Amino acid sequence: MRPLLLNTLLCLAAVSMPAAELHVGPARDYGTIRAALAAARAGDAIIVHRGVYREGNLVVDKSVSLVGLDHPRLDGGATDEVLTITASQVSVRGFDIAHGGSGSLNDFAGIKVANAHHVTLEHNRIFDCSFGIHFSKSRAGVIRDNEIHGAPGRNESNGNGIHAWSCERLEITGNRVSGHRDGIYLEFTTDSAIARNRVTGNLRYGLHFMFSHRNVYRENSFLRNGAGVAVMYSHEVQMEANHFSRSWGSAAYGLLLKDLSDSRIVGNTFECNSTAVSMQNSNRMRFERNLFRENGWALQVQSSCDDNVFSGNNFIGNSFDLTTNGQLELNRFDGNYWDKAEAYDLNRDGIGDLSYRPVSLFAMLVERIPSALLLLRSPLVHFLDRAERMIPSLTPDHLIDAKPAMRPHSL
Amino acid sequence: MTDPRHSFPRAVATLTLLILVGCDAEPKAIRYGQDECAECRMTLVDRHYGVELITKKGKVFKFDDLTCLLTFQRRDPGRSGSAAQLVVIDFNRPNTFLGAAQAVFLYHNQLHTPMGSGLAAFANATELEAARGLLGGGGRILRWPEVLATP
Repeated sequence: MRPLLLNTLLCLAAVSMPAAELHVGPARDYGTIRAALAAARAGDAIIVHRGVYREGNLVVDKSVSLVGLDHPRLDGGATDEVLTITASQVSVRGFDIAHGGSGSLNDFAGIKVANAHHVTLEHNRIFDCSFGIHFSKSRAGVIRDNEIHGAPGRNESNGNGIHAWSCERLEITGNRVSGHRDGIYLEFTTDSAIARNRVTGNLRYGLHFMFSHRNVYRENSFLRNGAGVAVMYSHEVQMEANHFSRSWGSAAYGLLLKDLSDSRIVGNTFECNSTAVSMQNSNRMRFERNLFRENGWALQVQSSCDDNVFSGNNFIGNSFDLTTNGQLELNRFDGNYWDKAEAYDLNRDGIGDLSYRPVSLFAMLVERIPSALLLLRSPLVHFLDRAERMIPSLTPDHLIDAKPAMRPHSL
Repeated sequence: MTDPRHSFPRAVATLTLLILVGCDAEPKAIRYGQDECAECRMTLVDRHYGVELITKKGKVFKFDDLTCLLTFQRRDPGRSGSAAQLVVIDFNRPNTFLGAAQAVFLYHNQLHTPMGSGLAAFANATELEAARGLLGGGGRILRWPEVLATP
């Protein structure tokens, strides 16, 4: 009886105790964050004043808020993980986190969250850490308005800017990520939203999905990454109003789709990429109202792709609009604007009177003999393409847009 | 002084040897950050992992993870049949290859390999045990035939 009574009293005391503010800084109540963390109770706020704090690895194992005033700096001294969060309902905002350590067997991070739910990380700046923010087995986390910049020198130990493994319902919005392996990486992570992030200059991919289903990403921009976005081995991924630009190089894509199904790609802009979209083994996808402008290849669709629909897109100024190594019989192209179509419209209904074949003879040739690309602007190639369009013999029979738009769609 | 009458055949022999060596099916250094996996098409970036299949004609296929090699071989047994060499990256030594048949493998769910196989290759049992210790023990030790038999 007595322990029960004691427990009840303790609970009541905990509930009625107002959340305290613990101030950390020179000449404050606490000289170190570690001391404040030790003294804090669940629900307290730890206010950290300006300064540089070199306290090694700090572990947050209570539900507290950490608030930085004037961006105090937590420095890992290039040896430690800086902040490790193992409790739920923790928030961290307004810190500079720098110089994290790295290990070949451990993923060291600026901020690591493990087995915790409802953790919020906001307005932090993370520099020179192997992984910037690392979430594992955590749900309903929020990663908002952080700046994460990797150090270019960290070749071998460079991890991902934002890394989520086995998580669900994350919100990743308004972050800026550069100089990491992948800007944002999701593995076995579901039902999450990724919006309004600016991801530039990462070694491999701006955003990378592996085995990650039912996610949405919208209004992000991906600039000068090895490749913009790779969506692999996943299903039901919505991609809306993103901007993919300047992924240049032989293995560089704006968007790489591999073993993806039942997803929508709507209202995105693909500009100045070697290849805007490359897809393999991907089925039941819908591409609508996207703009493909000034890419080397707009679409590379492998024969292993079925039941995809491409409608209402604009293809403007690309060297090749579409290439394939097969017939693509089960895919549909409908009502797209192709600037190379040279269509006419006698009944003035806004739809070209003849169906258009988006795969050119030369595109087929280059697919088989890549070095033929040397002849790209040759008049002979131009002549052959014209002849093939009038009397198709080598390009895939069924691959036509029956209703090509006369004017670009307003997107 | 060398007898000039002997130097011509010697030069021919050297040249022939060089050509033969040049034709040999050798592993190629992996260019991390540039090379693409022949199976999953991801760019190779993690220097702890990498696999190469070298055909008898000397064509090199690179993979980011052992699971990609296995998928590739199962999908196209013909091409794999012509494999002259299979080499894997030594977990502890960037861009150093080990013969797949000579290496020892650790399967551990804390090894975050590019495609999630959880398999790393080591030169010997001592180094494998050291890594296993750092991961807190556990996992499983495999030899090449067992790796080939993983589902």
